[in-house]
Amino acid sequence: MAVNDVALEINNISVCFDGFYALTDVRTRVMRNTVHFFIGPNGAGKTTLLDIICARTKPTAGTVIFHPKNREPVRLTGMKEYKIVNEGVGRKFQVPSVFVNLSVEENMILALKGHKGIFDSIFRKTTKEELECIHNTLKRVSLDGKSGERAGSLAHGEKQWLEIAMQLVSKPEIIMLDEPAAGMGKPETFKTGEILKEIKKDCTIIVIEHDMDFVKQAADIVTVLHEGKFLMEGNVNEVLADKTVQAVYLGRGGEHDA
Amino acid sequence: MKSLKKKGPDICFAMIAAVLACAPLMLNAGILNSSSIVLFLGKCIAFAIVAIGIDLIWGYTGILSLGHGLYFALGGYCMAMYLKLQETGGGITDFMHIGGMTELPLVWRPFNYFPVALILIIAVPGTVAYLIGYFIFRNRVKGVYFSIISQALTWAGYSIFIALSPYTNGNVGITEIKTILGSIKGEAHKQAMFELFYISLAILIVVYAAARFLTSGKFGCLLVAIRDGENRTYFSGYKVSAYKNFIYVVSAVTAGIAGAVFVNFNGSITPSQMTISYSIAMVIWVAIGGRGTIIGAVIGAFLINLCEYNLSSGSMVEIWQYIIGAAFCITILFFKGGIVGIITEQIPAVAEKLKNRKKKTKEA
Repeated sequence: MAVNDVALEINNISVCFDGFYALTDVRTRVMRNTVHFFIGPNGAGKTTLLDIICARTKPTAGTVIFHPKNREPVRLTGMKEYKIVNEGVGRKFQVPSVFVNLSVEENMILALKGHKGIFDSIFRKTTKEELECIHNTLKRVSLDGKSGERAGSLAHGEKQWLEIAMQLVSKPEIIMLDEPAAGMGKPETFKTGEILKEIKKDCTIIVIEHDMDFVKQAADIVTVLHEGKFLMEGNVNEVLADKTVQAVYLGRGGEHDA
Repeated sequence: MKSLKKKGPDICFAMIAAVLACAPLMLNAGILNSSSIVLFLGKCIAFAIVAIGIDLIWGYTGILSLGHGLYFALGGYCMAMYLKLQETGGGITDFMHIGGMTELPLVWRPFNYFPVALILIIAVPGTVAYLIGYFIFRNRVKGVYFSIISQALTWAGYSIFIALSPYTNGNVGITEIKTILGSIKGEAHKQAMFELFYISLAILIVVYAAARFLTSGKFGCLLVAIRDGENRTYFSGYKVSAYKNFIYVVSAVTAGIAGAVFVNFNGSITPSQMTISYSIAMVIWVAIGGRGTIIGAVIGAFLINLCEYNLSSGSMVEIWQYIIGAAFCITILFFKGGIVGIITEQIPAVAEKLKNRKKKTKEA
């Protein structure tokens, strides 16, 4: 933990969908080079929070400020989503959304950092270094043997891996993962956790997850949301020991086993 | 096998081009008995060009435009205005006289010069498409809403061209025009007709090559990515609206070029080229040929128009529309890949099944 400053500021975010408050006055800070988990029962507003950070949803009130390394802070609220991505904030969705009609390698080429303009896309050739980087990243998620295959023909778990690999190859400063381990078995989930711990050296990771073993394995900081409100924040043990958290979350019929 | 799959479309296109190139020779040798078939093939070349444009925007990018007749006609009118002025020697035309004009209107003047006319053939459809696309795509209008708007636009164009009859000769359109190489009617001008035919064929080849180049690299991947997951493409950091507008302009320009080629062979241009049914016919060529493959668009355009040429003149004239409609429905319901899809996917799949069955019976 060499440089432990703030990477993302979430200031008093509220979202109102037709009178229903999905989030009320949520504020927290995400530290650089940490794995920051958001947990909470269904409907707590975790996915909505990610939607706000990457501008898929507009907040009713509040701001999100991104502090890039060695640059001036950037206000993300009100920016277009593709600009946010190019600032270095990437997002993986809950449902795997790889491009099914493209090959694994083509998916990765589209995810590469930079050169997103039309003329670059038409005339620029992908460099050797970039292809090597793609190959290495695919190796990391054990997909290197399938680079020529159609992404749509991959198994569900493999699609999740591919999405994570696409995030890695785009070299973001912040990666947001919405249930990365969904549909994975225990060994794969464990491997995902190990990869998260490894890549946090280069970037900041925000994760939504239900699997408590996974949270225990990888989390540095855990924020608990409940019914759209900030409940508490701390390291895994503190959070799990807290009585309120147990009441609202763990007491709900063993959701953590799901 | 893999290289065949990759090169197959190009080989197929080379074969089509070679057959087309032979058509004038066959006419000379007496195998084809009338020069009207060559003229008709020339029109088909124009249709193939516009089909490639529609394939780029619909087959690859998933934007269904039902109004490409507008751009086709804009290109056609630009060409026709130049050709008409060639005939009048820069003076005003009959219909302007009737419309009460005494001198050439300002919008017609640039068409006195061939290079300017050529630029306008590309610039007019391109600019119109850019302006329309800019507002539509920036506001993220998509799917069926875009299709409806595109239909309305071509209808608006149709109405405007009819309303401005002193400038455009309304319903009748610009008629009785010669080609850029002068008259091609009759035995004496056969050479000019052949030259015109080869120029058009060269344009088709260039358009095909350009479309293949665009769709082969990363840009092609992006078009497919936008088709399959527009939101996901935004979240990969691409300004999808700009990409969509770009490909919309490219396809409009392609349609404009096709219109200009068409006018030369057709000898006239009328607002009926701007109608919705004409625009939808173009989409049907692409669907039946096989969308998402450039070669499919070319095959579809030639096949359907050749069928129409041969069938709709005789006793089939009344049921031809039903046949084409039924073929379209069957394609959309059962053969999404069109003719190309049947050859590259359905037939291999059936062959594989038969093979497996044989294996099983042998094992048994």
